[in-house]
Amino acid sequence: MKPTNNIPENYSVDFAANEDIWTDEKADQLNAVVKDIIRKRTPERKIKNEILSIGYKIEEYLKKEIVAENEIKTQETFLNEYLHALNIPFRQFSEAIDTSDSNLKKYLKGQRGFSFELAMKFGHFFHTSPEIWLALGIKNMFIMRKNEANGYDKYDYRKVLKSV
Amino acid sequence: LTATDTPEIIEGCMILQIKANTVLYLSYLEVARQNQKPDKKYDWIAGCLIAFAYKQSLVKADGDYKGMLFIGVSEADEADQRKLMNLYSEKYNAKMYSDTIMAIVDEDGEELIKRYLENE
Repeated sequence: MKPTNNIPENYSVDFAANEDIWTDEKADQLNAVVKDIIRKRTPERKIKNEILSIGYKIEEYLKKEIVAENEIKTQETFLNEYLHALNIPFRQFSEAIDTSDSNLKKYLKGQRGFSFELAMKFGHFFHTSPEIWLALGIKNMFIMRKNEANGYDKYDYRKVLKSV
Repeated sequence: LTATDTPEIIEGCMILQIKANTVLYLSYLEVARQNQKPDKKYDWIAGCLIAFAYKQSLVKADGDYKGMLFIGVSEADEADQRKLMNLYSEKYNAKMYSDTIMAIVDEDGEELIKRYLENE
């Protein structure tokens, strides 16, 4: 069946209300439809879907309130996903954003602070908001260093007010 | 779907499934009574749910199956069925692929995300 926006006038359906309409027969029928959609999709569209997908995964990760240490996804994790989807080697990417691969690795491994400039370059290159690249670093830092939080209890404006 | 300031009130709901381990399938969608005509409290409930479902197809599906949302349309009355399919087609860019199943694919879904989820 060809996809259409026009619902035919003589359209009729044979089913019982509330019946599960995803039957095995329907699945077989749609399998062909799915294959057809995939076959007709342009390479540009396929890339666009991959890019959108990774961007939304970053969004979801940033919104997640609780992340265990073993679930951490770094800037490097998502960068690798982008580069894999786009089939761009790491070195080529680093050159494209005017840096070297060894220098970029230092930023990604945390040996240097992920900068505003780098976030701007990543954001423009992958068509994301630059802020998310910085937000990833900040979120992960708080997850990894959460055990240190207790040492900061003494910093409290109420203690200052009491002493006045 | 709830509003931020009233999390206890359901404004709309849906059932979204992954079928055959590959494609996203919206099997049920309902807009709460208070959001239906003539005195609806919130507009765009169905649009937000459908756009979110399509977005999930990009997040949850693998490889080439990203960017496809299938919608099951099953009304007891034939006229209602046609009316609903027309609505999905005209308002939510869905195309009819079988007598009870429609789909929103690629650019059509991307446009819904922009319209309903990013246009705040």
